[in-house]
Amino acid sequence: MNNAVDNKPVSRMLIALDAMQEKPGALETAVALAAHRQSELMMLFIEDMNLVNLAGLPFASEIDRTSVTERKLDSIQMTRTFRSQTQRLSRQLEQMTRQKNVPYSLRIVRGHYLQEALSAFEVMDVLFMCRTVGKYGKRSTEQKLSSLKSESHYHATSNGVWLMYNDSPAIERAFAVASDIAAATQQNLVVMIHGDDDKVSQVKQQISKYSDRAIAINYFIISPEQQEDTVIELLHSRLCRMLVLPISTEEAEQQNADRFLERLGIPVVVVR
Amino acid sequence: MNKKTQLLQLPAESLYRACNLEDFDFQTTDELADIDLVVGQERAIDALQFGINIKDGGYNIYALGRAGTGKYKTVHQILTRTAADQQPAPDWCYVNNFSAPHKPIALRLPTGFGSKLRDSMEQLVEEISISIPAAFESDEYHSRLDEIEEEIKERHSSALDKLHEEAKELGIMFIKTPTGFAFAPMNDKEEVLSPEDFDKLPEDEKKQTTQKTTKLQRRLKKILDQLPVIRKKAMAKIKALDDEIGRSAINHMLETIKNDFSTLPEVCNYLDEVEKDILKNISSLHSSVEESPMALFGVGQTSRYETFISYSVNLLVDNSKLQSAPIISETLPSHSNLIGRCEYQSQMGTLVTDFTLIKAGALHKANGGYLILDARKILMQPLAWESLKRCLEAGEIRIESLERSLGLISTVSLEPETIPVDFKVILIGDPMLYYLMNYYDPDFQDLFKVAADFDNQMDRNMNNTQQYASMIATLARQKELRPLQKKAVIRLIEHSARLVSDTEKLTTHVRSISDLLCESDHWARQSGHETISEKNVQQAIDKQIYRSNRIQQRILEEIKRGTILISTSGDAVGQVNGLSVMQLGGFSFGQPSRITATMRIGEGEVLDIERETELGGAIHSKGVLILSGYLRSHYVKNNPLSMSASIVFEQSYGGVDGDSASLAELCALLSAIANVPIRQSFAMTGSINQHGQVQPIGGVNEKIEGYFDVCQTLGLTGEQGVLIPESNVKHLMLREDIVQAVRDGQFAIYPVSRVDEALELLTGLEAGERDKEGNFPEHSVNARVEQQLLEFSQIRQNFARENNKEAEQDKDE
Repeated sequence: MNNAVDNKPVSRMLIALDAMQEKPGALETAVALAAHRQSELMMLFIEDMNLVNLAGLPFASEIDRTSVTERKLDSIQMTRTFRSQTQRLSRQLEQMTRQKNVPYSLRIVRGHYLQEALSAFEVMDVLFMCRTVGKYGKRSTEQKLSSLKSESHYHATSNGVWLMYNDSPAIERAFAVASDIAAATQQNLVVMIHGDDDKVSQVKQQISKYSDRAIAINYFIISPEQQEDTVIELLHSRLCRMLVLPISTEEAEQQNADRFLERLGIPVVVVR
Repeated sequence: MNKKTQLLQLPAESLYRACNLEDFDFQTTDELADIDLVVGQERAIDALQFGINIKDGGYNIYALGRAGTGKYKTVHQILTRTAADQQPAPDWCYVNNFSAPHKPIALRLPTGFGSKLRDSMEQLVEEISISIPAAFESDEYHSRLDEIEEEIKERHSSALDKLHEEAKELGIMFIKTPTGFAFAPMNDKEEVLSPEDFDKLPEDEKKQTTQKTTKLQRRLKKILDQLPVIRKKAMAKIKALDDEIGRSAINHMLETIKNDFSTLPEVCNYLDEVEKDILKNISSLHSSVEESPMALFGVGQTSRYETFISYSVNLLVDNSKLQSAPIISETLPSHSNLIGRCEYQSQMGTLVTDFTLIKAGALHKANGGYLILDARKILMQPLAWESLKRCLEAGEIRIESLERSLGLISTVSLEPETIPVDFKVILIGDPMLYYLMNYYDPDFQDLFKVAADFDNQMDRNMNNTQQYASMIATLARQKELRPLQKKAVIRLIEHSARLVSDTEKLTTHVRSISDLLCESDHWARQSGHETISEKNVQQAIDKQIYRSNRIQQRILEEIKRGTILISTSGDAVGQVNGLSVMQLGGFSFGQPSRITATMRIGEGEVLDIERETELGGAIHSKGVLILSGYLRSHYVKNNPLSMSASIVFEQSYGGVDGDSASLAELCALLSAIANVPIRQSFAMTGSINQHGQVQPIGGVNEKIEGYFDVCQTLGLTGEQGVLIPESNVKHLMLREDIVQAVRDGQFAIYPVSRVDEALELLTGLEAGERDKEGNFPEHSVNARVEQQLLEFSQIRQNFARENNKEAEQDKDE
């Protein structure tokens, strides 16, 4: 990993979690990155307003994902769920940060996930967003089906950390962060580029001085005409495990993050 | 010695039967051809050939005979000859029983096919370990898998997408909760309506919202209910795909193997099962299982290893290198060495096994051929004999540990399929063991119906002598010894006759001859000779004796020193020199023993002091009783025997048995009764019957030599000699020095056939025969005996009469 790459140090990292978190994978990655960058890590637990309102409705009920049985919901139960999730994540965070000697803090807010996350991100350098399950729980179903595939097949086609290249001023820092994550998690780094071969050469040149020989970097070219749906399907089929997005303050790019987060069901790391 | 005595003695020529030099037409054994089998065992060979060739069950063979008579070698040679004309035995394999792994299946294959099957399966495993993963990593497979996945995704996602859109149109939001899904009304910002905002809605709208939500939930339930069904169908499709891909990966290899074994239906059935099992376990075969640390301990090695091991072939018996039927000789016939065993591997404190750990026993290896066992050894191994019998009776080999067969353990273990028995057993042992087994073990008679009886000796005729010479030549070559000169061969043949103490026989104890050959060769080498001479053979014989005769020499020394009282001159009443044989290890020697007899008036008992002190064996006692019977019938037929006598072996403290001294005992007793002295220059040996006939005895050569050595030690006088039964003359093969002494008139051997002849030689007096009136000649030995016995009888009668008179007087008073 190259500290010298950054022209701005990453000192503050934010990881936004909600009640949907099941696996600590993203949390681990965030802690590892914070440790490497000697950053402070804040965990923002967002009590989803939709769930709060849902629980308050008189007819509120849910269909259990596994048993397909109907269960009544109420506010007390929902609060309890939030609390237990918070405690669990807090314990995990505490354990991980203690091991890595990372300063951390925890904040709980109530609101809509993306809004709260992006709002808190305004004073942060890196934002980890993760919602384990996508819109329809696709990820769990697909993961189950994918387990039917051979492990070798899985390894052969999966590329762990993807960086969505754009012309954002945050690209270099995003690249540094993506490299660090790839190295920390021992995965490949794939740089997705909208353009042609010339663009690729340009990008390579740009980031070559920042590339760490310890990780393998692949380049994935997407023609500029490719629709977002296609890109998302592509990322999904390639079993992209984490997406790094360099972002500006523009709302359009922030919405990008939302869509990726919503549809891919994988952690999205937003770098300013 | 008077003329009559001289006439009775044996000439020197009768004391040793030498071979005729002209009968042997060679100079050294290099000129003699090898012979295959041992000589002089026609009966045994005939029995062996019969037992080997008869096909019915129960005709296993017991080769009985003294150790060293060439039983094993003969058996092996005959079997080798027979087996050479027979086909090699089939191969046997154990393979996995996929439906019951603890019951491995036995496959019988033509010779050489076992290794072929094993190699083919090894190759199959090697190939499918590559081809199967390759097939399942191929683009084709993954494309088709993706298609199935896509189909499921579409079905599932499209249903949910549709539901989501419908809900959206109805103003309902589809929400994911931590544990499931829910529906809730949404506002314009596409956020869930808060409870407060919901309360503000009109009642109708609230009701409608509730209904819509309920309806949507029902539909969601239906969709989610379908997921397991979709998943199950997907699994079935994937299974079918796996089957198809798996089949394509293994088909051509399996077909090749099936073609190679197309004539063997059992193998083809097995290969079908292999195919089914491979397809059943295709997922574990193609999934890359990471080596776990436990694998380092041999525990749960990768599932791929465990799966592949079940396709291997345990080649239990490989006869591919055999050119004929197998001949197996098991030197340690324990239970497991005979019937095989299932071995175990230790893994993390437990013992595990599988069909690959089955090991063949001697019975398996001998199947289709012959098995040679030592009878004593198999009886000494716990339950080995019972196991062998069980297999022979059942006609099959069942591999089972001793512990299981005894019911000591009941853990789950392998139960390999039994293998049918198709071999002959040849037990080799001594005769005593054979007779004991025959008597005490009823199964033995049913299973070992053929006795191949190896004789200890053979006739000494021209043909056999020639064969014997060839046998000596063969032995010498086999042992890579120097060739023997003609006279050396002759000396060996003569010594062979001496070993069986019979001029008309030769020993078949090949080991003795073989050992002598080796020792002769040694002495020849020491002398720097290129061939073994007669001198070397004699030296070997003399050295053998010298190594063993320490005790004999000590006894001679004590006789010379007078510690052991033996007289070789003069005469004495009631005292004779008897002769006995002492056997120490493999060395026998004769020695004289003073036998004395005393008598007095008595009630007719002849006291055998050896028997009274429990130093005499039953046969010795029988001899004494026989001489008592002779005494009564020959001398006092019409009168009570009114004498008490006692007979003893003086200075004998070690036990006496046998009746070869009964003649000497009788002569001593008659001498005591008649008060006629007996020449102490003679020794005698012989057994008698109640009619006074002298019967042959054993060890006549050793006895004569023993007495000669004593006489020589104390000084030969020319008067000394030995009385032997006439029927033992044909057994005489005496030492050259004794023959020479006889030739020189220094020693003599007298054959006797009746007690009277012995008495005349010993006393120098006429023994006497009854005339027509039944009287013995006056002053004859028998007359004196009779007279004395009658006197005792008279005295006793007078004594009894006086006693009666006194008793009557006492009564009257």
